[in-house]
Amino acid sequence: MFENNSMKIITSFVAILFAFLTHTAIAEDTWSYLEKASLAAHELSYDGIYTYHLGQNVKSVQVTHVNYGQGEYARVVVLDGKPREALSQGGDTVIFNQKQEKVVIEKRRGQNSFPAILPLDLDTVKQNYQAQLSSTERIAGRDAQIVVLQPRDQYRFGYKLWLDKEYGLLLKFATLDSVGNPIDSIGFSQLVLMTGQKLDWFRPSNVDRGKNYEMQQRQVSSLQEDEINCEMSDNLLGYRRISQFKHNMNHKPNPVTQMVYSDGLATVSVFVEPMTRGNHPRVGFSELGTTNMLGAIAEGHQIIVVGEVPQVTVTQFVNAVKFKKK
Amino acid sequence: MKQQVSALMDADMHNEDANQVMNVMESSSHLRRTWAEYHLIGDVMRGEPTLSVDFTAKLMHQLSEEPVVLAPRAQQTASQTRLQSLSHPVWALAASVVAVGFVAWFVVQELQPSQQPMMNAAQDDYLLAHQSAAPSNTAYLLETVAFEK
Repeated sequence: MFENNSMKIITSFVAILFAFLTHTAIAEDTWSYLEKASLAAHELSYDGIYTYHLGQNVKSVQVTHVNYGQGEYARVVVLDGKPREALSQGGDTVIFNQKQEKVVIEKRRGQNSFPAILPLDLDTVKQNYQAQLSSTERIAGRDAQIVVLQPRDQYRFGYKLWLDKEYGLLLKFATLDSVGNPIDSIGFSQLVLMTGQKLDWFRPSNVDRGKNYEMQQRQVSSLQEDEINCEMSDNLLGYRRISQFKHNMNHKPNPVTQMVYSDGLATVSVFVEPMTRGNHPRVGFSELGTTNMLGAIAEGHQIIVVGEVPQVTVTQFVNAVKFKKK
Repeated sequence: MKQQVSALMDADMHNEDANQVMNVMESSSHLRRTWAEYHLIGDVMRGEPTLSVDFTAKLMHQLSEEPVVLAPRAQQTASQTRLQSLSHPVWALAASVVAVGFVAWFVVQELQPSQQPMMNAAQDDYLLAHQSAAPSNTAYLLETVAFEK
């Protein structure tokens, strides 16, 4: 009798342990899909057309990406509407924006666009999202494994990712609302993997050489920690502060402080500036696709929080701004 | 009755009925509490900043605890009498109602979604600054473009 019981206990213990191990193994396996995807977007060479859907808006974009062994080269061309394209080499990006009478050129650093939108280090993402393997689907003629990233709390959206079964490349990406319906999506409609390393395509495809060029000057500089006049935690609702800037915006007498937070996938910016006479206060919510914005006035300062996050997150960020006692 | 309070909140009611419900609410502290709770639930569901259910009661209690200023009365002249009539308790009450009204208006202004047009993606300095600082984005290059006609 006694032996029988202890056998039962041991058997159920082994069963639980086994279930736990397989569960952990599956979870680890799901994350390894995402790790492969974040590497693939940088390491593979590909040429394709993807479409971006947001409500009634649809834009087609051509992307060409080559990893040359010694570096990455990419060109992104918006095919619908106003001509706009970007060329990037490593972390440096140059954006050509065609206006009526001129071409505006803007330089940026350290930004990635689709399909390279997963960070190489997924630790922060793991802390804020749960990864679940879902079904399979065919996207742009390729077999894709679907992985859903469920947010661990209400302060971020969920995401659905379609990953190439063979190469791991991210084929489609959708932002989900709290009940799992897509808000926007971006996905390949056509994709070719390249083996060659030719770079003859690496030049602006559609920029009118007859027009005048203008370099866009954004008045941005980095900001020292002691220059920030408000106390903001470095870690807020699972978002970590990744950078801070000082902007001299048009028609503004005082510089605007920007603090940038990230949870690995979503980004939130907090802008703070002293209110001055003639400065129109911005108060209230606005919404645009997955982007939410909230303006508020506190202790003589204008606070604006904007991010690709739910409304409750921007509200919490506004409430978290505390000013240092003078 | 609670259903009618809920209908009143949603403005789903005729004027006469609304007047009646408000009259009943005036005499029932229970229904006033229901009214406050329903609003709190609404605020929480919309993710708006919330006040506790008994905020009004606490505020009223604190107001009643405020010390009354007792100062010796100076000799009155004709012009002072006119001024003094302004500081009569009724005026003080009216002034405080105005102040509460103003504060309430201000708070409501802060909580209401802005009536201004939505942010203009192509021109909003803050949105552009945010997008150019985000390390990766679904389509940082596209988001602004998607809304340009």
